[in-house]
Amino acid sequence: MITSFHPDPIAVRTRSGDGGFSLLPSNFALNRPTTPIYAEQAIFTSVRSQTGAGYRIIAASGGLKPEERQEITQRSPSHASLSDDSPTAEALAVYSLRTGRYCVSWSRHAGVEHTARGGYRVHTHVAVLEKTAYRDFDYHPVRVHSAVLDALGPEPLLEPPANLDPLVLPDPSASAGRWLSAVGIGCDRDLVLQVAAVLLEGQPLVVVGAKDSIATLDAAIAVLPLAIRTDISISVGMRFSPARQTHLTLLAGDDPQARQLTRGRNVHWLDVSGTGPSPAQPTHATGLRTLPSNGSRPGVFRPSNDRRPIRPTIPTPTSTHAATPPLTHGATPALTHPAAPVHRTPAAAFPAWLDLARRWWTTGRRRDLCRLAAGIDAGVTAATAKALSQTPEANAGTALGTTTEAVPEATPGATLKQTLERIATICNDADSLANADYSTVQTLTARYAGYAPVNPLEWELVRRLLELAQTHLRPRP
Amino acid sequence: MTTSYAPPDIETNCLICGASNPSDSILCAECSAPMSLVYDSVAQQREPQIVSVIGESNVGKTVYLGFLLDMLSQRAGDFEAIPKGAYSVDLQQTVISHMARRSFPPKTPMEANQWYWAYYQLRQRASAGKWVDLVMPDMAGESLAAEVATPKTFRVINGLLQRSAGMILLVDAALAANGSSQPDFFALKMLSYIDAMRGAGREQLVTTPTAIVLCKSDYCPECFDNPREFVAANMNRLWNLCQSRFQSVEFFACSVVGSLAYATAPDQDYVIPIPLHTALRGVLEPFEWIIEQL
Repeated sequence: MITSFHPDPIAVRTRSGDGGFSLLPSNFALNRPTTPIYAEQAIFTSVRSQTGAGYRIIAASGGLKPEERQEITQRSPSHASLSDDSPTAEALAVYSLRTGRYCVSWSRHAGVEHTARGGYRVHTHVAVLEKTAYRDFDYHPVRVHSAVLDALGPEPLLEPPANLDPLVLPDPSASAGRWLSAVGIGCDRDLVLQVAAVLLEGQPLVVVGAKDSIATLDAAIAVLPLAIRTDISISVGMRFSPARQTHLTLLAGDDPQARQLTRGRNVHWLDVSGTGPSPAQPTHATGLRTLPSNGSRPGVFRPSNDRRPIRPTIPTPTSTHAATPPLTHGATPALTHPAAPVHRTPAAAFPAWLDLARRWWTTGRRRDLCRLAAGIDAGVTAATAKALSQTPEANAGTALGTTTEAVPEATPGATLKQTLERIATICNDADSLANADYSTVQTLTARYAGYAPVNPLEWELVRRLLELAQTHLRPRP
Repeated sequence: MTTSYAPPDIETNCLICGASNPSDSILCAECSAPMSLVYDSVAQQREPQIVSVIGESNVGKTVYLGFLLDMLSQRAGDFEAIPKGAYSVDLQQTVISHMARRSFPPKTPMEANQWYWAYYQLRQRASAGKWVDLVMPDMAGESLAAEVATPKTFRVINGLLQRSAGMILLVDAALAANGSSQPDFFALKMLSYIDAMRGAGREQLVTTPTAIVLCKSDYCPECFDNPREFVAANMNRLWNLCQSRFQSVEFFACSVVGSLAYATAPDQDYVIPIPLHTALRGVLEPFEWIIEQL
């Protein structure tokens, strides 16, 4: 009962470490732009010129709109705003603009500030991308950042012309394979998945003490579904400022002022440096607030009214695979400060997806994980929501079960959570084929033969699962 | 003029922009103004009046305000001044300690959560005047410039200037005396912004007391003899706008640094100004005049 979608027909079967088969083609979710990618650009720094002095936009390309210039001025770091005091400090910021475009900015120290009152000049180069151009990078800010570095060169422009040409960014597909091979290497897997878990729930998060902030960010974004990446504003390497209104802030070290500023603001803190007061598990002050589901900007941090005492929870696995160990850092939870409010570990709202992510990461399938995440775009979630709300029989016919657990039924008004649960279940079942006995394979084949996919990605995954199942059912010579 | 004072909701409302905030938040989420201003104002049972010190980047706002607050703390001009909250002392402490080590304080960041705020309760003892509560923020010159260029870029500035009972506009007399038009243009833009913000009609003038202070007048001592004449001669655009649109404006000259040296090194492409000693002159007079007008 598979509907006739027409996805990419190429299927590549590769063996992964746990004996499972990759369901995804080698070219899955890797974009192939054939035209140059242009971005507007601006430079925000402090120089003395004929018309003024101090931090301002000193040069910009002609396509930058006045409201975008205003927003860049509001959000860009100024004097002493990088968290690293060394002359080689760098920082990254990502945010959506009110005009609908996306901003990726690279800040660094560039010599002494011109009034010589102590401290370095902060030089920020800003790239502004249309949504289509950002899509070419899979809405991945670190990939954009890498492309901007390639386009700009090492030296900051301190005396640019007032009018700049648009920035021409290198084709991201040329480096996609290299990027996929390197993403996550050397990263703290638990930290990456914790960050991803909090971001999936739409909570603001501050991470303190990550060993390599950019690499951690790179991996955390890569395991997030494409559908939510544009909603996340990020700052790495900058001092915390409420004006920047970031969802994800990565600080090199503990910042007592930032803790004060986030008090009562529903901001999660994840301190992995081992020096701060909060435990290694994500904590937050009081209550939770989720991002609006329409993807609008977060606006003001506001508290919820939920002040009940809370206890840590651990996600329950739902697949046939052995339960993945709970997220830990190997260290005992640190004592909370006696004056701090009651903290809790946020309950994982996406257990199926996070379990799959953990298992694939642990078994050397980071590339598959990243490619799968990049395939879950807004179209997939929208198609899921639409299909489940319009076809009740789709719900009735999709009581998928793994060999040990029943899959949650798709319900009308499917959200991202339902989409991820469904996809994770299909992937888990496909992986279980590798070690399944004949009768289990037959059961799965019968179940998925009657499955009604609700989006193109499900269609493709189920089609490949059935192909794999047929391989197992074929009599051996 | 304060009429009946209705204390703001201590649970939520920012003193500057009125936005709702959690009761234990440190800064307003909308404008980054400190919420302690609200709590202190409620404790005083008096709505504070805001005196804004404004000027372009590197004109000396931080140094001026720091010395002014320190002078008030030491009862200069027979003022009795009481800081409300330890945060009110941070600015003067920063300025005094830097100048004592012969260095200027660091540049004020554009991020509003990094600004110094001072909340002082003061009166003139000789005249047994009533107590006045003043809030004086130390704003970044670049933020002021950005707000002037594109209004509502920094809501806290817009809110502060809307609510200011008095303004002290610092202009760089040294640059003006050297023939630079930059101080004149900035002051012109700043006052034009204030004029437009107050929304007064053509016949209505801006009534907020505005002190125009010629900073760094040690470079051009003639400023002290006749500041009005200096402005009319060297900053004619500013002079004309004041005459046309501002009802209550006065001109002053001030200086903080007694002597200045410059340090550099062969491998450096920048010069560090070093204040060798301070010689305060004309710091208190603009403030005295503002208080008299309130």
